[in-house]
Amino acid sequence: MPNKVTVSVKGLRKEYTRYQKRTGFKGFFRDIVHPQIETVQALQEISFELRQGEILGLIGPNGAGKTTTLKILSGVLYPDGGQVVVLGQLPQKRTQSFLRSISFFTGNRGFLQEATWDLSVLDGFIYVKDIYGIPNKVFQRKLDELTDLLQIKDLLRVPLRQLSHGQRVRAELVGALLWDPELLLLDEPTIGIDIVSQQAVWNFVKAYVSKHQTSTILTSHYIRDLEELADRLLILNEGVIVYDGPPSRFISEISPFSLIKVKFEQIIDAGQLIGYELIDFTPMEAIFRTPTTQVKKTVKKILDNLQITDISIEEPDLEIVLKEYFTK
Amino acid sequence: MNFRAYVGSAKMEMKNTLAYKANLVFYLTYVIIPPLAIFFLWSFILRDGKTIQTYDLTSMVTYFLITQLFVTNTPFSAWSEIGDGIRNGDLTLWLLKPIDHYFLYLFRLVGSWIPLWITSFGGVAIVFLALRHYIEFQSNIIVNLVTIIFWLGGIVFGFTLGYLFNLLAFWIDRSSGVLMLSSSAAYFLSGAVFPLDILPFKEIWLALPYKYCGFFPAQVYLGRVPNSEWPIEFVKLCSWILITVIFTKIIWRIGIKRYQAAGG
Repeated sequence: MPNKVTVSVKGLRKEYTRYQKRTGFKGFFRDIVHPQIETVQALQEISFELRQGEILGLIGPNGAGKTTTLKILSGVLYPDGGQVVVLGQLPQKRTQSFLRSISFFTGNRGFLQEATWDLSVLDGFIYVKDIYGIPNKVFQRKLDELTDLLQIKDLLRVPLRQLSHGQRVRAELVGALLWDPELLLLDEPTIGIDIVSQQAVWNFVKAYVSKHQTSTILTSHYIRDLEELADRLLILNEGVIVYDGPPSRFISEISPFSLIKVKFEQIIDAGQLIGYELIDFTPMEAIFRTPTTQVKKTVKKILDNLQITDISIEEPDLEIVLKEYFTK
Repeated sequence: MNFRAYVGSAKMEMKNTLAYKANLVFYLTYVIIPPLAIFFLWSFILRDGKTIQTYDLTSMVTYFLITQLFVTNTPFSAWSEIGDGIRNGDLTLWLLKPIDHYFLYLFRLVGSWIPLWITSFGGVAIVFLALRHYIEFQSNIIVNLVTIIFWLGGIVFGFTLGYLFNLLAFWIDRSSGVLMLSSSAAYFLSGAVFPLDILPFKEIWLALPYKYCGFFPAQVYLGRVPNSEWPIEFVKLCSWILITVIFTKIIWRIGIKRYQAAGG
């Protein structure tokens, strides 16, 4: 039986207005008399659903509308049109029960950083406990579980401001889950942290969501992470959904080309590879791109013209496909 | 209303203030030096037994010590952090919490000041001891208690007004100028610069609610407000607070729809 719908978005629209400032002294006065205001369509009638326990990866270039979507789902922003229902409620009403059911975590700035910067990590968690009225026993159990999983047990008494960025992100993540939210919104959670911390965060999210069946929407610039983690991808571009489905299908649907990797017998010059579409090249190796329908022909050409020791055909990875797609 | 959340917010801000203990020592100088400067000014103006209307040197010095103490601790501009948060998007982090924004900031403010108030007692004691011959001491405990009640009411009113002006940030990119203007006006109208009853058109100034932030509690302390007037003044103060809080809520509801949650 399919899980219940946690998030339902139908025809969601959102637009922003922003000032266009003129430069110079004259421009300053002209701005006062006649300000130039521009309207930006952040979201243009997007629709999607999220089911309980599902992980939805949101991808898109900067300004695509990813964070705006999350802010509307969390009730921070008012939609300009369409219907958004989250956990059976209208998010913009921001009822107590709604806010207790969701958690919006952003890697850019965290709640603990805003509220308890000078205090210890534990003081920050205690404040979260007070806000959500978490009983002491439940708090202790959750704290043990989360700090264990994210390996920050020994940092509890350290002032937040003295943590590294990666440690702080992990602490913020604990602070975002103490009240067992039903919906987790993660906006670029691993931005700016090292690869080890990134892996720790993703492993944690995977384990946590699978254990608690928390519906999750996450955005990331690290596309490979989403490919691995998300059940579904939702790709946004200029406020429009351009793809909604499993990550694997996106590659085959959107990317009508394949990659051919070859290793050369001896060092060769790039000039010898004219006529091939090169993606990557070192004197001993190269990656060619070719339309999927032309793979046989290209392989034959390579075998006929180049001295190689190894050849393999691969699907392009999501990162390359997206880069290509958005560049178009 | 989740009272625990608000008490927790006050406790959190207390801890934040206490995180920088040296600031408390600096605050002590803030409590001691300005009152002494005021004393030297008025002892020069009212030398040789001169008076201004009903104020002689003793009542004037007492008036200013009390109003300075109260007004210094009254948040006319609330925290400019509130307006800044609306502008730069930090408000988002608080909007996501199941907690009322107005009460959150009121409790945070009180929490942040409790350590400062406790520190103030030490400074005030030093000032009162140094100027003991020029101060009218109020020995009636009830009068002292009523003074404190009106002062606390004045704090809530001053905060609400400051909060209201901060909400302008929903409409204006830079509301700091308006905030500065409104807090300067409030500072004057609270009686911190001159006792309101010696100013021309005093009926106007005394009809405004700003008086509860400094002038009125000081008058209660000096025994210039008859006991019979306390209840009606208290009702008036509460009505002003209620009206500003309701107005604040209306402005918030309209403003929050315009919020753009800047930043990532």
